[in-house]
Amino acid sequence: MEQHAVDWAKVVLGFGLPFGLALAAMASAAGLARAVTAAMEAMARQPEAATKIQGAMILGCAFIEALTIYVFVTVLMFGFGLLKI
Amino acid sequence: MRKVILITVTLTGLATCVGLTLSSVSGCLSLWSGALWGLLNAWCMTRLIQGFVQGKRGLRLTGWVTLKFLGLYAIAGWLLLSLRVSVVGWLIGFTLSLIGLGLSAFPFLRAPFKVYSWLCLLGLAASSPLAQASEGSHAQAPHAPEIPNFITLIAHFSHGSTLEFLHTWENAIFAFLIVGIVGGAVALASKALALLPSRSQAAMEAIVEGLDDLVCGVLGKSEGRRYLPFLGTLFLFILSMNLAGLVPGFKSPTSRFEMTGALGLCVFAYVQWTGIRRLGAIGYLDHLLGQPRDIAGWILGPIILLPIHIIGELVKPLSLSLRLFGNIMGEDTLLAVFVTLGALCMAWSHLPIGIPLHLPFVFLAIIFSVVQALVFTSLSMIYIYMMLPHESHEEDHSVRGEPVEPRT
Repeated sequence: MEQHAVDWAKVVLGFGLPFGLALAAMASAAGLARAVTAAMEAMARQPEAATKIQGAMILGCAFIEALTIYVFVTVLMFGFGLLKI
Repeated sequence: MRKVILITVTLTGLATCVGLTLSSVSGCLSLWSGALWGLLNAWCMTRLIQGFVQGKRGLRLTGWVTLKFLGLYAIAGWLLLSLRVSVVGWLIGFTLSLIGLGLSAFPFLRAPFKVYSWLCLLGLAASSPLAQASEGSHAQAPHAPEIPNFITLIAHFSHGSTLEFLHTWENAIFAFLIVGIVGGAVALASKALALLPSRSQAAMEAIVEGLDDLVCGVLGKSEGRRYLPFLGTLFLFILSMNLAGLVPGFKSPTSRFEMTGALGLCVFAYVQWTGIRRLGAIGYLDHLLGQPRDIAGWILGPIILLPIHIIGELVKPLSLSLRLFGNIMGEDTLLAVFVTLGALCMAWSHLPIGIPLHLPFVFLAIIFSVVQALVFTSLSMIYIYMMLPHESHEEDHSVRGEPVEPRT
């Protein structure tokens, strides 16, 4: 590949990839906040079900987190594959 | 006969690992074809001898003789001559099946077959860095920094090619090591089961009871007990592999996509097999088509719901493996980066010490390792639950989007 094109690709990806990761992190933070808020309210309403609610909250949080992890893995693949060669 | 198959398959799997680092993929295919031919041979031979011993003469026996002598040797001839399967590999595979036959006569394999079948499956999954090992792992793409483990230390201090072999298979070696340690601990604890439990037996009972509650909470009492061995083993295996990365000198096999991809494939195969076995082949297709009950269902089912269901089923193992891989590789990379930082921050003093800056991330890693093992197991449970026959199916899959009224 022509060096010029590779340099441009590096510039664009160097800006775009971390920005995309930050966007995914923001979205996941919003989703996690909603999940944890709902869990806290449910626990306040019914403290004896607190362990079950906590278990379900952890599970839900792991799913939401996984979406950010997918973006992270893609960024790593691009970064170590394209930008360090 | 099952024991023979298990032993032969394990031996062939191990031989494939060795063979792939030393030769090509087609050599290993010949290994497998030799082993499978040997197993077929042994099976036909046993049926033949049973027929003779029971005194049956006549058409059925002649049929068996024809099948064995003509059919099997025709297959062998076709494989070796027209497909050009490598003769050496085929002969090695055949020898492995004979070894399997011989070993199965020993009474040392006393544990029930289920344990061995899961161990073989997981062991074969652990030997999965096939593509990476054979496509030339010498040209390593630059990858994320990681904390060295005892195999990289061995490879570093001895640049000979015999020990490079260990470095290529470091994932599989750690996986087998972990299987050995965990399996050994469990075997020791369950050696002499008494009514008044010893400490290790009590600990094992607590673990099994906890897993039983988890699994039976979703799947129900009877179904949960059927799937508890697989799901419990999956949880303990993934948990021990995740936590192994925090032990100095070890590495998490799950920090590489090969291992988690293999685990995802295992779960996928098991879920589909469960579906086909419990629902029947027709019921399974019915489930995939979205349970068409009326004309709209029969027309729109195959067009809309079948692709959605197939893509959904295919995406499940991918998401499972990517989630686990991303989390554990992220933890390992985080730890490695902070260890490097901690080692470098005292470099100005030229002393061989550093500050353990990675300590808070070790706690994070412990929490997330447990959570990810739990999530993997819970998702597998839910996939199995969705595959089993249950009553609320019509409400989810009716094409028109309304819940179907129960017919009175």
